[in-house]
Amino acid sequence: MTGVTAGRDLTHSEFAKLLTTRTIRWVIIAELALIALAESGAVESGAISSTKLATAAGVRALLVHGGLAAVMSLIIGVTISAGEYRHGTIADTFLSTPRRTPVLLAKFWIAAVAGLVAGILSSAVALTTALIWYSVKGISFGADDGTVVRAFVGVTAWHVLYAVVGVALGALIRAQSAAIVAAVVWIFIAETAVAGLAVSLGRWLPATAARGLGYDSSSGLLPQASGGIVLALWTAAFCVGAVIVTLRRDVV
Amino acid sequence: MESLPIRLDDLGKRFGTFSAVEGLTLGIQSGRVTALLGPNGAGKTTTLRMMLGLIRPTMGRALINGRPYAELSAPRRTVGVVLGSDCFHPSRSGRNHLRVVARAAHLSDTRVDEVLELVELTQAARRRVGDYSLGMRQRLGLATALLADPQILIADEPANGLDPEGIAWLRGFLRGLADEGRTVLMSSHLLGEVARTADHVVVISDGRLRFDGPLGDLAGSATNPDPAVLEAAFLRLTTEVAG
Repeated sequence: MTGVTAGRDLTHSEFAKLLTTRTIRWVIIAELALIALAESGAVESGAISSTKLATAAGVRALLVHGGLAAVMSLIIGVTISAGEYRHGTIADTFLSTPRRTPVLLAKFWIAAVAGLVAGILSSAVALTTALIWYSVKGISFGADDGTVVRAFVGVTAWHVLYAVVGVALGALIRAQSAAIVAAVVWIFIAETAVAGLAVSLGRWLPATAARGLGYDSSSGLLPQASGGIVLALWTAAFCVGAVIVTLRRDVV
Repeated sequence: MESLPIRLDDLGKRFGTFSAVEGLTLGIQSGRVTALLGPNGAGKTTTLRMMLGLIRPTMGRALINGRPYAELSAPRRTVGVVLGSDCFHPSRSGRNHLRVVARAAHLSDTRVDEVLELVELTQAARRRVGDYSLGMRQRLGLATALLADPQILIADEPANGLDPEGIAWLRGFLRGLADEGRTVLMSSHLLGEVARTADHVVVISDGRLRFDGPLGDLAGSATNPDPAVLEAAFLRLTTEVAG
């Protein structure tokens, strides 16, 4: 069996794992519902004013909700790796492919594909929800096609990278619930606190860099391309750490 | 010794300051059922997992057909493994579990259906594994191990949770594999069952080898092994150490 064939078989096996449980479907459905709810809440509560909605910044503030739900893609990534430890199937995986680096590479790849699907759907729901609210409120859509495309691409890339980070995090921590809690606490609490203590440092941290990538209109964020590069570097660092730890770990 | 399907050379494992396995040297031959016996915590599972590359030895080596497991070109086709009844995703069907493994081993779905038939799980193939009985999960584990028709079978407590009918079925199954010239290594607590299934016995206790020889040498007779004699010998071997 050639390396190419073995790699293809491994990828097919990882795809089969993903598609033969219901987890991913429910997580994506929850993700899309959250986006629509959060976006609607932002409009109805006045968190984004009608005046702002009529500007490009207002459109960006709405569309970035598609990316804020990327934590759900991260959870998909965590279940792809930590889920195997949770259910004990990791032993079977390493018995089929004893060299562990290709296993993790396949998982990163599968997570990226899942993140891409989730990202495209999330962007689409964010845009659709926004268009509905603009219509309902009778406000003119204050952004050109370029703004929409940049938000769409940025949010999708955000999901892809977060899903891959999720696999790495799950492989590092192994306990699925602990990995998810750690990610949520970091993204929504710890990073905000760290950024508050060291403002100039904050935008280089992963979750804040992700908002730059997602074309968020808030001030103090990195430009979109820079945010993407910084988040990609964080993702690569997590992946390298996951590979190193997995190669050294006993499966008991 | 070089041509033995399974060979351990001075194999050892420490977890921190705890020594789980110390200097195991032995060979497992083909064409017979070898039982790996030992009390709880003796190091049986650690030994099996070191053979399979799941646990890294801190000393020595474990070889399958002369190579470490990780260096086998087609590991699933070389070694079939039963690691327990709790190694399945509960919401995946039995058939889908096998398909996942088959994909990784470059095997067809036709083979999946064949092994389901072999372990008599065809009727339950589309049910969630979470709804399986313990015995059904053991059978699914065996089906997974046999998927690629390997020459070597390594099973960790394969009879755990099986009812008398299942144990009888398993006995015939393992004997059949050995009679075909395959290598069967199983760990077990069930001395009565070992007396009826195994040809050869390896006893470890506190991570050290205590006995490696034909079943008859421990059970009184090769042709008519006595479970009570085997139990007495086992207790003597393992309590001598503790004492």
